[in-house]
Amino acid sequence: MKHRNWSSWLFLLAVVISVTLVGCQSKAQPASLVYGLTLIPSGIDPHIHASSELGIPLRSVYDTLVYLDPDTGVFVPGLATEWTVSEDGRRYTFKLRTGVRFHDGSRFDAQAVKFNLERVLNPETGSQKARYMVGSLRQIEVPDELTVVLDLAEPYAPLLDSLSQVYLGMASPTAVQKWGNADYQFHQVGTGPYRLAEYVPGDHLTLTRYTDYDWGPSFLRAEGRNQVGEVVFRFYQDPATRAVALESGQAHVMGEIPPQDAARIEGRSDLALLPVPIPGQPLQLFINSTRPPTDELAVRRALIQAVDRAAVVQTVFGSWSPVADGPLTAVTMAHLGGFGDMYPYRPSVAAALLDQAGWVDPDGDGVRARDGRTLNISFYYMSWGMMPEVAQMVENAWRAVGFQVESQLVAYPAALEAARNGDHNVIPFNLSGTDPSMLDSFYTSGGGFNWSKVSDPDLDAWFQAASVSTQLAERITLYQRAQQRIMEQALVMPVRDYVNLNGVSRQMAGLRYDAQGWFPLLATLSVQE
Amino acid sequence: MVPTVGDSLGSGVTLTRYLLRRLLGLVPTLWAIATLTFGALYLVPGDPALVLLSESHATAAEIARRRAELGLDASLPEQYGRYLARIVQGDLGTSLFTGRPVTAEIRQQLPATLQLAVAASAVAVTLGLAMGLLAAVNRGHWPDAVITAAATVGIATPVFWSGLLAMWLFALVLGWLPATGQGGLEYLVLPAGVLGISSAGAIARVCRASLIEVMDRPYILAARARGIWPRSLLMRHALRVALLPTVTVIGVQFGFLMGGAVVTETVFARQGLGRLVVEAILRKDLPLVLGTVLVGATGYVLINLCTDILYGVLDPRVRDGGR
Repeated sequence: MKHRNWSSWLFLLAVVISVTLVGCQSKAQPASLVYGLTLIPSGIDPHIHASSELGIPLRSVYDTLVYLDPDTGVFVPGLATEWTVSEDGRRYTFKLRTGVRFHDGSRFDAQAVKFNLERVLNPETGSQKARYMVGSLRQIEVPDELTVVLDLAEPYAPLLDSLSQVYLGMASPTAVQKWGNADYQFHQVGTGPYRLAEYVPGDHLTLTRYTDYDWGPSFLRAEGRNQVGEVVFRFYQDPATRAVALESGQAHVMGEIPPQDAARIEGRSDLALLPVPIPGQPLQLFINSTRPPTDELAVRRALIQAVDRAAVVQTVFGSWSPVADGPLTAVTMAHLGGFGDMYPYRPSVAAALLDQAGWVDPDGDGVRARDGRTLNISFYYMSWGMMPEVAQMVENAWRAVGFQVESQLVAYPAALEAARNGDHNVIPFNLSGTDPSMLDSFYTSGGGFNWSKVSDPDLDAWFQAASVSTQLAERITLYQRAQQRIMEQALVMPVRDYVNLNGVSRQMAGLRYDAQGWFPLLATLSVQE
Repeated sequence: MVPTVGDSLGSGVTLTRYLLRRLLGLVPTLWAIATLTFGALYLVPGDPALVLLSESHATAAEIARRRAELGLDASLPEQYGRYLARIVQGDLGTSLFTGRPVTAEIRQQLPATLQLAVAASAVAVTLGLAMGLLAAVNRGHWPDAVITAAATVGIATPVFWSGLLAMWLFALVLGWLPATGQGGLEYLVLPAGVLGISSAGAIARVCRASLIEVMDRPYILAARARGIWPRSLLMRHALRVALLPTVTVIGVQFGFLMGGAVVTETVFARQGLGRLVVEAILRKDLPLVLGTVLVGATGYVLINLCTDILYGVLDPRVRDGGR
């Protein structure tokens, strides 16, 4: 039949045309560096918003009064050339650098510092993080153009660490006033080595080099030729597409490569894998010390000892992440380790602990019980950070020693709510940061994230003392004492030290990260010849 | 579906009245959508203030204070009343997380989603009609079998998987197209193609079925018996009738495409309304979710109104009745 031939040919023709059209769109050589971000922050004003993702581009837009040297772990001058702390730890006096100009040409001085800190403190700004980083800061004095004095109601030891972070970066008062709190994030102006050229939420963010920049610490000084003039950040939320974007040459740097793609990246000649350990808390399971049955120490200890954490980490995260040893990761100040010896993987010990506590399984159904109550664990977890994979292995290990596990995969708001209400026996979480004071909100009785539901007067006192002490050695001792107590009480099961697996094109050289681990020092980045 | 249109299409006045009635009918629909969304959001556990401060070192007291600042400690009826009063005034509120007006957030993301949905619709309609036509004309022969199978595969394949496959083939292996992001037309080819193909299957099926049904009708058989050449018979007589159910499917599919855009935007790392609303849900950004859902629902309802009207225009009985 004639018409059938005609239509078949048409079909074929359509296929040929579409394939040809597609083929014409060849890939152009990128003119600038593309850096892949992994989630879309709700907003990117560092004074207002809290996402750690915003710091990846904006660390290079803002200078801070001080910097934490990533090599030595010591605070070094930033916009402040020197500083003194009063004996009682309540007055910080900063001498500011001269000749610093914001990207908009306005001058950086003591009034600018006052403006920035007051902006953060102002409730109308609605700060989600910065406001909670300055302790009881109550007044900012400006004795002269280049001197700033911060006056605190109570000493706050982590203040210098806070002032070294992008959340307390120094923004141009002119620009902030011009755009207002809601829109300033699209027009941010700092004094850092890069300026914000454009931000289109969900699509891209572009930085261009600030050529006048010559006042930063050594690790922000650009040297040599072929510096990167423009960095375009794009958002790759779907973990599965991150490696694809990198391998196809669309992105030159990509954070949080999934472990299952990392080996392939590592094996390629045009790409390199750059694992960066992140200071702060490891991925860990908080164990509720008030809700039965985990209100019993023996049960909490049994939970930890029943799990082969090394096997979990190896299976889920590959060989790049160390097994977590304690409530802080190994690269964090005041980290205390050695808990592998306190809680080695011993299912038999876990079983014995439960037996002694009266949790037994006389009917042989595999589930322990006591006084007619089953040994039931309510386990909440979230969908990100490989938590479902970890949860699956951990659950199996618990079941093997006679726990009954009711696990729920929940959305983040629901998880936070459950944890606050104490509906959980176990829930994972982690937070990054350089100062161990981050433990406060997790292990003090009034802490906002006290998910172990611990109320220990000793812990409260130690954290309080560490927060006001001006002696670093004393603080470290107090935090280590606290970590020892946390682990003795089995308030948490550490799983994996966070390591950010960055994939990097070998066209790039000199990529380094700051002391926080997340934020690239873009100034020293260059293109290979 | 809308017999009234058929009777009234000849007169401009009755058409206007019909449109007004339909538009007024949208009000209870949109109220229901707004209320259901509000209810669903508030039923799901989660405290936005807690999420807002989850990366800070805030104490429990500071979190409670923030909750009050955001007006979230008010009773549910009070919050609902405030919300309704606001949307009646055309104010969608301010995002809890970005601090910007919801309308500004939507305006920023809407063009990208529309671009994707329209491009995907074009792919879906072109491909769907072509496939349906080819299958119907070759009923029972191999092109029909191939197309029917392909349509089933297209419908059954989730976009997050076919998207990755397409990315792997066209971006990694062949290197013809950018894998992700947006920009020129080349960035639109993969996402619109993947999304359009997934929807083309449904259109092809309906188109094929209705064409076959029409071609078996006595008047077509009679025309064929009189020796009218198949192509003109197909185009002039059969296709127009067969298009009617297809138009309805296309309207419904546009809604499907808007939904598919959520997944497609995530897979292809494109900006858009889909990602905006997913992010907002994950953070429990109540005003942003409510506003986006309301805008999306309005769009969907309006599209279906357009299909209904188009249906009337295309129906030959309507046209003849109007003369």
